[in-house]
Amino acid sequence: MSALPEAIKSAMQGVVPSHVTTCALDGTPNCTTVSQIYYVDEHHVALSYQFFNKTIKNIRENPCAMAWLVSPDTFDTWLLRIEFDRSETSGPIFDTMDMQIEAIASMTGMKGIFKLVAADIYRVTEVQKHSAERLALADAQPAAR
Amino acid sequence: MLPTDIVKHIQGPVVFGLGTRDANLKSRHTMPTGAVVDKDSGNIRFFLATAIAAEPLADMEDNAQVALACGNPLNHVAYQIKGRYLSSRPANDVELAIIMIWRKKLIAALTDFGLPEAMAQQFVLGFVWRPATAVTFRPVQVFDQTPGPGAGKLVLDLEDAS
Repeated sequence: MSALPEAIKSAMQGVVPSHVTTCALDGTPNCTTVSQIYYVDEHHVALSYQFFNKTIKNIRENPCAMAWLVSPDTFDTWLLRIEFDRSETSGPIFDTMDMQIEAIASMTGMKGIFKLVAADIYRVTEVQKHSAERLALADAQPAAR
Repeated sequence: MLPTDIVKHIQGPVVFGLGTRDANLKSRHTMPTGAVVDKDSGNIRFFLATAIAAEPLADMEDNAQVALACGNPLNHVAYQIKGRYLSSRPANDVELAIIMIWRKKLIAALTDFGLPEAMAQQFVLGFVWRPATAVTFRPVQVFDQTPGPGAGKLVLDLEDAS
């Protein structure tokens, strides 16, 4: 297991959507956008289970996934290797996620579309700041393109 | 062939996510920087910064599986196109120009969405984008990924259609 660094927490506030990739047992990969990946503790994150979709189906048969996150303050990107641990349908993690989902939905004009079914908890097995993907901030200015 | 609205979507201001997987069924995420649909073949060519292309290319050369998600941040419309990897090569000057157009479109969309322009620029222009690798794949299935209960629905199966 890998420990999540303090710097990644801002990427888990739902400001910039994240991506999650999974793989079905037949070998078909899947990539989807999620509104938020939730920080649970330094070794766990949670994903919202809102609809029974391909990600949920894949995870139930092949528990390994990769998540891509963006820190809104620095625009650093992160890659997490995660493994499904358990699903929670009540309790503090579920309640916090439910409230957050409603807040994100309200702010993005999607109120009434999102509904939390469960909080899926994942173990973090690898954390990588994806520096190869990002230019240094000074190099990202328009004039320096 | 992909219908016009989906072609326009792919070539519009979308954030891409590429899903590939290795021989052990471990998935991988990579962010492409633009894509274009070939008018004659209907194949999709997307661009990866060469600096981050080695691992997804190894995946695609191993098993040819491609899942390309593309979501418009302005109207939330999103599709995922699954298909078979065909080839890759260094991007040429025209393709680098396509990437620059994609970057401008995405900055404009994020600004329209309400992000301050300087932040939109910092986000989009901060992605390493050249040298780039052009990756071509044959689309097989298109899924709706627009948030809501219809997300995940198969909207087009090109193998059935052919």
